[in-house]
Amino acid sequence: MLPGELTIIVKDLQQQLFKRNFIANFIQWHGNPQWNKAIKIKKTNPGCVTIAIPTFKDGVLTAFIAATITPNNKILFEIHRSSTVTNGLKEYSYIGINLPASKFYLSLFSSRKKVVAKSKSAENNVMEPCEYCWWEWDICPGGFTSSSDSTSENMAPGGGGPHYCWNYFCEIDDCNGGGGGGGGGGGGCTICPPECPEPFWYSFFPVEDPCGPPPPPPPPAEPCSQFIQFLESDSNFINRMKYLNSTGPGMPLGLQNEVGYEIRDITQYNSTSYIPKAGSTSQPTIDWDLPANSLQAGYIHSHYADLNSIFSPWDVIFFAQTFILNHAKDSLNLFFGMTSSYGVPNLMKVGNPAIFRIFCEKIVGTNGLDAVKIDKFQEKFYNKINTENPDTNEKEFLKLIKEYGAENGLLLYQGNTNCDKWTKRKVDNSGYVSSVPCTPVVE
Amino acid sequence: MKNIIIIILVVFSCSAKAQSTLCPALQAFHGEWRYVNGQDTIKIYLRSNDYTITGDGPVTIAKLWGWHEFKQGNTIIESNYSNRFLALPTNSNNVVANSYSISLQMPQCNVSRQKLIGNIHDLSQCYESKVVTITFNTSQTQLNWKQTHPTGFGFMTGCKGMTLPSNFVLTKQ
Repeated sequence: MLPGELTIIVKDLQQQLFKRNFIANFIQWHGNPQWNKAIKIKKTNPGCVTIAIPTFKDGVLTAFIAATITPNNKILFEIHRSSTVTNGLKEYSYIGINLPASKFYLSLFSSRKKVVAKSKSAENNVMEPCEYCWWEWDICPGGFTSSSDSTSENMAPGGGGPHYCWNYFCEIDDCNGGGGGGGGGGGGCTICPPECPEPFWYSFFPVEDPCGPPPPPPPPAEPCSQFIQFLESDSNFINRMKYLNSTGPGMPLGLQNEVGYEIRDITQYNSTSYIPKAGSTSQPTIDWDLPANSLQAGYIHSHYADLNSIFSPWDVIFFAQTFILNHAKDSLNLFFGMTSSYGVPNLMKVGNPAIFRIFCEKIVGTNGLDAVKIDKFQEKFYNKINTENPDTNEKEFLKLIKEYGAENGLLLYQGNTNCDKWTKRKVDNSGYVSSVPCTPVVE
Repeated sequence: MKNIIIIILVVFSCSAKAQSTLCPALQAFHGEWRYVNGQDTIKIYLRSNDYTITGDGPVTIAKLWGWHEFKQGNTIIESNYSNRFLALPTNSNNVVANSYSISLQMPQCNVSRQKLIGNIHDLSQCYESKVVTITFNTSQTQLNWKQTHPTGFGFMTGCKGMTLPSNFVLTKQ
């Protein structure tokens, strides 16, 4: 039996994950929440209830989610990862869970060591430095009655069976890390809880300040690309991309090599228009092995686990070489698609071909082989776009293209998991990434 | 005498600058690294500095430059080792093509990730780039070097081989 607060949180978290198409990504990195190990944290904001839920992957504790129910029944999520503690990184917290506090709760979840329950008299708001107090949902102690037991906060509804209570515990930690235990510091907000439009989204980014300015309004709608509209309705393309985006044993994202298709003719599906390709084991590459005078409509491929969530610099270099050496079947619509274990497929496509040509000349030279330019590009790329955060990678990718003046020459689209909806992505001058809405064009 | 002292100071000053201030952790990788296996010997020499990539969105990065030599017995298969003491370019405008063969960075200058990434030019394969991923031990005395072909390798040159082994372990000398 779960406590009432947790039932609300489970539902809300599911909605948040679905909303962001984030379930696969979340489970990939954090494993599954262990709801029955949830605890209620004492030190939170006034009027709020905070439940901490650990997540385990392959039996190993990876993180805990701190879900705070505000007085107006809004739920704010934040996540505190084991890796963050290990690497001494800072994560924002609405409720002041700083690094020592995060470390304490992680150790609590991993060991589940219990200390002597404190009496009701200890449950005031005066806490010693580095003192942590929490409740565990468990069978009520012997002699419990709903009106007299001093170690319980609330009682399981309904009659029959054992009563469940929030049982109270406290422990004083050794203050390692020097922070105030259980609260304070750690980059919390000055006015908490903040009314962020999408708090769950923010909480996944340690570098984002949930109390920062609200995101800018979405960019104005553009006419949809007719070519993208075609891809969204072309079952051959959709099915191949969905295949490349599939996980599990033997499927592309479950392999240890890249898989893809060289597409010579997007308008039909046969062995000469969609040519399957596969890389070697543990080689983050595909030998596309293009014949000398071949023309390409595009390429699609998979990045297996541990590879980047976005295109590699070599993908972009190869794309530019294809274009600049006139291997594009349709230079207005040459494209390159990719999938990765992060779950979000991407597509880059030529926008304005004149602008794209200038970009290509900058990164590979007019002959496609300028080693200094190629080195410069891959060095700039690796300098920024090599994080384990797919959203940071996407943002830095877009910023890099923009820095080269090629924002309208090389377009980036993000796909849904069904690969039948592709949305143009854009970064503004302040570094905010948004989807560009488009108005369908009727041919 | 005064002039001599000034010259010595200038030389010392230039020498001292030949390391990265953006990522001082790269200093630990300076010098010669060696792999020996039977007849095969690979020597790699690394140096770092802060290097500005000019042009669109100029950025200064902490970069490890490298040179290598591959010998089988007494036969040099490929080498640019003699370039290893050349002055390091401080920006991309004064880079001389093929004067170095290795370019590495430490992601986010985070030593705890124990990783270097970049590329090496295969001197015997039309200078084609190979993607290099290195993991190093905590004492930073061994480099586990892995290199792979990049996407589209050999597309422009037809050179599809790889001269160095795809995986070897270098030891600090």
